[in-house]
Amino acid sequence: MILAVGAPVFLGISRAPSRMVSAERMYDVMQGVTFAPGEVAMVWLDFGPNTIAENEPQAVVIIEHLLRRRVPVVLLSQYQQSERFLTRVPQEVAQRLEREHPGQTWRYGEDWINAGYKPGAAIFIQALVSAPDVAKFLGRDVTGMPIAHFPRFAQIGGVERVKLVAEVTGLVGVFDTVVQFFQKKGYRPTLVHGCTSITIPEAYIFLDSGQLNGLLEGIAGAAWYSEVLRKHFPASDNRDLLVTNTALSAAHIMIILLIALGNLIPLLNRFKRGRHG
Amino acid sequence: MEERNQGLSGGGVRRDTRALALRVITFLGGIYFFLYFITPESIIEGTKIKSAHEAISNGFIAVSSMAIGLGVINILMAHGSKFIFLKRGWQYSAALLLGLLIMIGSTLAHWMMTRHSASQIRDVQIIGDFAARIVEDAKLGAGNERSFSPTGVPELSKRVSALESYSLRIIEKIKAEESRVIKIAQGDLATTQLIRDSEQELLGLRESVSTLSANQWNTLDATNESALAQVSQRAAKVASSYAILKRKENGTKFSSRLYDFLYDGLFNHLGASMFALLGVYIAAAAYRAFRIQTFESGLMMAAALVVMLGQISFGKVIYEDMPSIRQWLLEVPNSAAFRAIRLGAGVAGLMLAIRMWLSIESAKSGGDKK
Repeated sequence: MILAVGAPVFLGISRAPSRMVSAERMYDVMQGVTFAPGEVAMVWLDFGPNTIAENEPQAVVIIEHLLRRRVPVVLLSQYQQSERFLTRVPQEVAQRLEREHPGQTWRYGEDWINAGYKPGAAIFIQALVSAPDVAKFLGRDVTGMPIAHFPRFAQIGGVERVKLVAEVTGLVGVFDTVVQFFQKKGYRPTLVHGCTSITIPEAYIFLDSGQLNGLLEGIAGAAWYSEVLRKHFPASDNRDLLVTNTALSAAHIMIILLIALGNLIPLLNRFKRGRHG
Repeated sequence: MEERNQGLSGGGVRRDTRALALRVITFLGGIYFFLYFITPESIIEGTKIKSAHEAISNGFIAVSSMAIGLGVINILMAHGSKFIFLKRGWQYSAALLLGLLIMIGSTLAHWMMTRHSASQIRDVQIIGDFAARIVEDAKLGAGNERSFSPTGVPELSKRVSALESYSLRIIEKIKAEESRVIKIAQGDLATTQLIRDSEQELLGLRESVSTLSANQWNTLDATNESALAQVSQRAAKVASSYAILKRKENGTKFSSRLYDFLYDGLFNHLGASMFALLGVYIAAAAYRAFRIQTFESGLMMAAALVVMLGQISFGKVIYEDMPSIRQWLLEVPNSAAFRAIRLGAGVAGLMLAIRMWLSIESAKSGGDKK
């Protein structure tokens, strides 16, 4: 198993990912949302180190797409362990974009802010949705700066100006809270979700019912999304993501082989016993 | 004695009174959010609860945040006693407590550093805010609502003079800090370029501030308004660059590096490694436990095989339409089955929630003891 996963990583082997229809649709959804001045996207990074392999690439591609479009992004989380990702992921994406586009800058406070960990889960989301001024309700960012002092985020006003909500998580119950409570009469944002492979079946029911507008299915979804981004932005670098996806694919093959062996060997033994006995 | 002690808990409070208080508080807390959720907005606005809702929610969040404190106290009590009395396994308790104290200390130091930086950045932002406010107040006229003196805000010329002196003080402070950051940068091209850009912006701000004293400030005419607007814009740029420089400078400090090491270096990687161990268990289970023994298990295994192959790049090598079959499986049979499961789980969850809300779930709150 270690060889199966390790070989692509150490040797840098990458294969084109499998086509994920839901990721393609999500790209179209995210590209189609229009943002007037003062309107923002809200990205919840609710994952920790245990699901970093699947959720972090999803966070990267979502934030990359939004930053490319110059959409102001508010980052926050319901999960304490995601604190570093809220800081690190957008910074790394911004640095990569600046390398790709010399002369252009992506800056904290202008292109994104980090509102940090917000306790309270459903209570917090309900209160956020009914607050007359989202910037005032969120208070300060993680550095202690009042959010209302960032010009692009001070004009948010009510939650109706949050046009897109992205929820990246592998935790049970977190995504349900956003679906249930991040809405009110006459308002429902465009909702996209990055989930781990184990929660894909559960996420599909929301996608099918229209409560969810876009879905990234584990790292395979993130890999295909990055390919779609690369199709539109050829300079985009997704090598590392493809290598990780290839390692995952190798692990899948390994599991399939082990299942096959585990079933074939007892069958063969039974057949031999039948012949002798 | 026995009769006197019956029904009493610590502190002399009767057990049934305590249970009643718990029930009442639980009920009230639950019913408030339930009613707020289902009540039409027009009625909520009429009762003026909406304006208080934010504060009420924050109160509940503050109460639930106390759980963190309770957790820490619990750890200190459980492991502290082991360590102090040298009970069996005291070394592990010592390691845990040491880790806890180091992490708390490092996080506190990091937090204090970022808050200090934020207040310094805010000092710079005030220049732009003040300039904009001077323009706003001058347009509103003397005696406007914002004034804190009976005659209105101070004279325009006094305010501009205060803005000028404050701005020059802040500019000098930033220049002194930049020279410190240059030393830290030490060949880091990106930081050096950032400092150069910041110096240009500071120069621009100084020029704008200097032109203020050249103008007459009896009234706010178009020239004066334009000068203040320029100060405001340039101050915003300086604040933005200054914030980046502060973050870079903070990144080199010991508290920041320790925090990065503990969180990114240890916590994240150890957490990911622990979860990665699952891969080994899955591999072992794949060989030993995933046996096709009935028709249903065969069907499940076939579906699992299709979904797995459809998700990986090798699937297309086996069959071109594997991803499409996978998509159909997830969209149709899976959605149907999972919807039924979620509905059932939702009803069960609702029943459990009602039992907890009415305090008939737990024996301690006076519920069913069976």
